[in-house]
Amino acid sequence: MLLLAGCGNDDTTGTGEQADGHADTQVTYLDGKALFELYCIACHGAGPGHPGTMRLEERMSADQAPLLDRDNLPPDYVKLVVREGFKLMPPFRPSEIDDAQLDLLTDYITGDNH
Amino acid sequence: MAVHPGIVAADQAPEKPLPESLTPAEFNRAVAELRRAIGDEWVFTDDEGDLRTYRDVYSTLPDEANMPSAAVAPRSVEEIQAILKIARSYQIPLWTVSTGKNYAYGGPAPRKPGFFVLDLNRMKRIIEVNEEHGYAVVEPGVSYFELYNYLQRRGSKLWIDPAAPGWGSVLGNLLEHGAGYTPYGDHLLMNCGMQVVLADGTVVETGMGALSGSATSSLYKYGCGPWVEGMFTQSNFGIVTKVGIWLMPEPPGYRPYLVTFPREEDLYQITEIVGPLRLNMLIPNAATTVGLIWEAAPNATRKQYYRGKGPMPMRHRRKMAQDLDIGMWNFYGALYGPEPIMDNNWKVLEEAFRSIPGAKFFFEGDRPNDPAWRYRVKLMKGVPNMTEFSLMNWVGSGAHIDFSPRSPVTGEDSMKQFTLIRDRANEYGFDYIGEFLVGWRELLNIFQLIFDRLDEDERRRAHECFGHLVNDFAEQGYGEYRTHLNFMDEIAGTYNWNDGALWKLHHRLKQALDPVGILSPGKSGIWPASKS
Repeated sequence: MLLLAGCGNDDTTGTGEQADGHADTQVTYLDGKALFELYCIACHGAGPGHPGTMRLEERMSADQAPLLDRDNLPPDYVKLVVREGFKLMPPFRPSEIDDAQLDLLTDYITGDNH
Repeated sequence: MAVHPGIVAADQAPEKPLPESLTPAEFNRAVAELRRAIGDEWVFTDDEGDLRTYRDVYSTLPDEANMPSAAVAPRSVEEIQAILKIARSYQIPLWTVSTGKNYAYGGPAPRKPGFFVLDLNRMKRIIEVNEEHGYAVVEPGVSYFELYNYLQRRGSKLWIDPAAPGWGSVLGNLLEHGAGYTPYGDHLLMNCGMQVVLADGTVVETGMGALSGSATSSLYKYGCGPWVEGMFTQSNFGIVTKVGIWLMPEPPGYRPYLVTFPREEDLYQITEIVGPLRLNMLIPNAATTVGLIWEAAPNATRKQYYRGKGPMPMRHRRKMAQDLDIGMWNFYGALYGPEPIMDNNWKVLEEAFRSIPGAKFFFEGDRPNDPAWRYRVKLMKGVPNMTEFSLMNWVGSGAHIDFSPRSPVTGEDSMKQFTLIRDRANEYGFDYIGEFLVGWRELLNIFQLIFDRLDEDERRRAHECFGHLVNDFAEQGYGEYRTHLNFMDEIAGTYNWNDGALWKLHHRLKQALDPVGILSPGKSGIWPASKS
């Protein structure tokens, strides 16, 4: 689900199309899956070509390397790595992923609903 | 009043560096005013918490060298104006970043410790996409991923041109003179119109945008009178809050190709061949000749082939090249357009490349499981991804700073650049990890100086190596087009013709446009008069 915030229009479809034809995507991501797909999957998806997965394959079994396949990730650890970075991964700022979004993202990564 | 971490005690020496202009008490007052202006949650001062996310984790220097004392993240031009008013009042240096992903050149960190970061990542509006005329207008926080996703959701037939890491800012990369891999790869060339907030809060629309009600703001670049956009790139004369960017219409055909070459010395002939083909547009996109390790990195790490210290010996590199079926150099290009045009152009290209003994050709379908091929195919048709970051896996906790000189497109220049960098890197114990791009009439050599960021000795050696390279290349008449925070003064110093006349002009402009000296002091070696 994408919710528009501060767009000054009554669009509730999430596409951000305004009446005058101008696009506007000043959106607030309020969905863990959407956040994961925007910020994480390019490095942590399954298969070759994902630098984070490639790195994790060096220290754990291949089937545990993609983040969504991990069954041992404590939520606090996920939050720590997002804010602190880890190995090649730089930190993510609250202006990118705010604390409420980080909760949703963490729930998605550590939960079973994916 | 709420107690915020990172607020400093007014009656004792602060535990963190502050801007030179501020006492601890003034710092606290300024922060309180900023919180009132843009909201409590978007002002960051906690050195042990959120503010740490603003450090440059890829720097060759310790974190402290570039740690801000605070960061502010506005969401609108009006909030920027409010911040500027406070900054002018307290003489606060504001270091502007967009998505803050300009890693290798500083990331979200400021030039000097204590500066405030003006973080524009929350300004995420895609203000306009024009399918008919092929452009978008975006704010600083819009990443390549976000613009691409937006166009895809709407079924657009417009391509974007991402830098290799897709998390970068469309606007920020353009302002840094960044490049991509489609025929629209020169990002500044594809800019049309800007909105700039000056240090005094004045908002300026450039080009045709200066005409009230203009319908051509994103169609014609030059307006009437002086063309000023370039002045706001790699500079600190204003805060760019909006850009128009031309987008390439999807062509009727796309045919990527890879040609591998077995010997290091083949670079000479590759460059001689590619230069005229690029100049005459038979190669219409950024023609990229990728070195062995860069090409190998999505598939391999260094320790899989060599566990010794120092640069990887040639016999190990040959083994890696053989295993991965890649060359010492690997040329990526693509054909675009109707089939008959691509067929005819390919005849010319194939004949040219075949003149190099050992050249091997690969096309769509030949390397289905090779992530290196796959990400290049994506980049050359404007699909953002992060695969190139696999380079950070080459050593343990990989980090990099990039050395990026430009030269004429000749075989002699390419070999001279390559051997200069390789020998200097090897002297300091690093591998040569580079690629050569022909933008149009110039050759850009990107050398990724990759080091283990958790190894203090490697960081120190990388810093020294980089400093030597700046001098080496200046002596040969080569200049870098962009650099890391900590080498901006050194690079500026190499542009010294006529007693540094150009940088003297920059400083006169700085004084005129930002007399208090609050905007990104030191950017590109341009300092306010008070700090010159």
